[in-house]
Amino acid sequence: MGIRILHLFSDLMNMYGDYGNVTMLVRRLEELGLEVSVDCRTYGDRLFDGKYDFIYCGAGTELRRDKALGCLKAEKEALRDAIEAGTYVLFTGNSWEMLGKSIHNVDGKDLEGLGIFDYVTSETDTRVTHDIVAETDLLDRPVVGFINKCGSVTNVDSPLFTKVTLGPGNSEGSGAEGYHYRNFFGTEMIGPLLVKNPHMMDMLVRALAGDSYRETRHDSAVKAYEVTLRALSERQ
Amino acid sequence: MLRFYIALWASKFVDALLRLKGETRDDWPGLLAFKLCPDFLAKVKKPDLVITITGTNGKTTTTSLVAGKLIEAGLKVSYNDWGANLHAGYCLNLMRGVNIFNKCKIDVSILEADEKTLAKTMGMIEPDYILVTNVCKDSLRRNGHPEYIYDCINNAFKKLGSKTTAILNANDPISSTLAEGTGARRIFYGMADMGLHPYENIVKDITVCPVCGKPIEYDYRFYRHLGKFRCSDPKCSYRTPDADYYAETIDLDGRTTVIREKDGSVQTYPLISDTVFNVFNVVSAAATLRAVGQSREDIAEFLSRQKIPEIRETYKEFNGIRYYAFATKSQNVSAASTVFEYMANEPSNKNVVFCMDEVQDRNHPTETLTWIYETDYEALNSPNIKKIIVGGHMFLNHKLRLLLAGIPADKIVAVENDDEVPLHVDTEGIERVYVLYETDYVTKGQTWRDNIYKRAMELADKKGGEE
Repeated sequence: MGIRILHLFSDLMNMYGDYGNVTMLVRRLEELGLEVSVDCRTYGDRLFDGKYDFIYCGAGTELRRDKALGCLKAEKEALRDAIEAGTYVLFTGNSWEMLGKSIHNVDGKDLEGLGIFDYVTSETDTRVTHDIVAETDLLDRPVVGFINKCGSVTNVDSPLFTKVTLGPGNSEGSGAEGYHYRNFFGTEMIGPLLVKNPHMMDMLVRALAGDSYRETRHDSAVKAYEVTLRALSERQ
Repeated sequence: MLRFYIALWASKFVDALLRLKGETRDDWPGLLAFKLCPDFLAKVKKPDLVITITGTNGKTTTTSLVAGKLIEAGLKVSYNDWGANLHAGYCLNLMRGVNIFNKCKIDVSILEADEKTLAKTMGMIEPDYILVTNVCKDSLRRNGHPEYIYDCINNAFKKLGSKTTAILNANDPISSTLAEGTGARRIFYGMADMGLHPYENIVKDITVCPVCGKPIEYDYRFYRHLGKFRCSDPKCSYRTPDADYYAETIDLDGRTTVIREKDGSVQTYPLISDTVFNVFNVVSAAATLRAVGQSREDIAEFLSRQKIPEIRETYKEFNGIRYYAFATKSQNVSAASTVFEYMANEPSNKNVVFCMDEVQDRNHPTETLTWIYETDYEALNSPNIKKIIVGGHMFLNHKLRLLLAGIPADKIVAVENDDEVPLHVDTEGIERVYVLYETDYVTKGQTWRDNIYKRAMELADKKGGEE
């Protein structure tokens, strides 16, 4: 039995090269000799089919996120059960907003979230695009990324990144970013986050590979991370 | 009004000083006018015809074609050909079109316009026509995402209502719905199937119908999301609109297109190059010029003398190898992906050299990394691309992306020191070398190409000497 990955809304929520996270993860796991299968499910599909080892969802536009949320609602218990069972789950970009209580849209309408967590998203007509450097207790090195959002998330009791040293956090002045619960990781960072941060990828590979784990990091990725971190550190 | 006249006169005075120094392309006088009088754009007298040209790709070429034709027609035209497509550029453009008493002295103003700020500026200018070439993914930092840009443009149409006419690309599933229900007259241009087999993009700018949320299907595509589209739900009305100006035949080899108009009349127009990008540019320019009353025959005659600016693609030849400097917009996913696709489809055996990093990439490396994963590097996995040499400060990230795209490691050379790039370029066994350079760095791209070319000559000299 190999490792089963569920890539949710692989077309709809793939706005910023988010697929790179899954591609790179599969590559790393296969390099360890593991058998990996990726189940890509999207709008119109049944989303959950059995037990998965890793569930991923990337970023979309606000409209696409709302469409995805509509689909997820019908199967939210499956997602909740997976999270409670300790499945590794990563939601990047605006996708993690779907799991909160509600999303207050820019046109003043309230959209009910999945309600798995208690946080609330409020959108504005101001778009925030910014590099970000953030620290988490789970990793010994900072994480680098890019944010492209138009709102803030409040009532976050357990942020993934407890200290943001560059860029915006969940809301103005919060100094923290994303959400962490058991093995659920949510962050507003977009695109190939795990490629940008080989140590974060390593954390996941280690967890999913178990006894089969051994060091297989790509040199280019590690060096590129150092270059990126150095460039961003000079701006802090 | 006194404030406006102070702004106008100060702006004209500074413009005159700069002109004396030979600096005609500096938009500082426009910025001054805006600073002194924030509603300068509303108060300055506009000519009888104002055309705004906006969209992600193609606006510079289209603006140049439309302006060139109207100038040839004997009209006095002012346009921001120096690329200043924000409020300062518009202020300068319109300020130069009036005298010190705010009396208009030109016939036409053409404004190449930034999409994001359109509602605020065009609300004051009130252009007669707004041409939107397309809406595609562009720099995240500048543009957010396509739906955000769509809203920015549509807000301009909402503000203007029936005061303006929208000229829209019927083949763009994003921008073709602009101005719907705003009261603006809408004119569409579109194109027939060219029999292309475009790459299936990994990241799509639009995937579901904006009306009902069902997937979008295509009868044919040109590149990325541009093509003949429809919602997969037959009950949904979302589909390619009927074109008022329809390019029913497109002959890339013969470089002509036949455009049929709604009344059934047809005209053959010359194309300015053999790329699908530029077919769109010619059709959009022809539609705009027809909409403002230019004759079909005159437009065709004018186009027969136009070529794309040489700056975008130049080559030198030595020992049977052509060395190209080839403009490639980085941060612009559709432009870069299309260039990669062209590298694969252009049949010659070649080396491709990356010189694509923007200076901002140093400051915003994580944005660039995102762009790298949105762009279809997979298209470069083609047997006629013998080697890819990667320079620039993001060289490691490009290398990693190329590896993930399935390109064999032995085809990739990542070079930390840019001076060493020429050392890795083949001088035998290939027919072409393409240096893909970011459009802001024309000189850098051409210098890299020249250094590669020089090294090839030096190697040949050395070889000749030894023999």
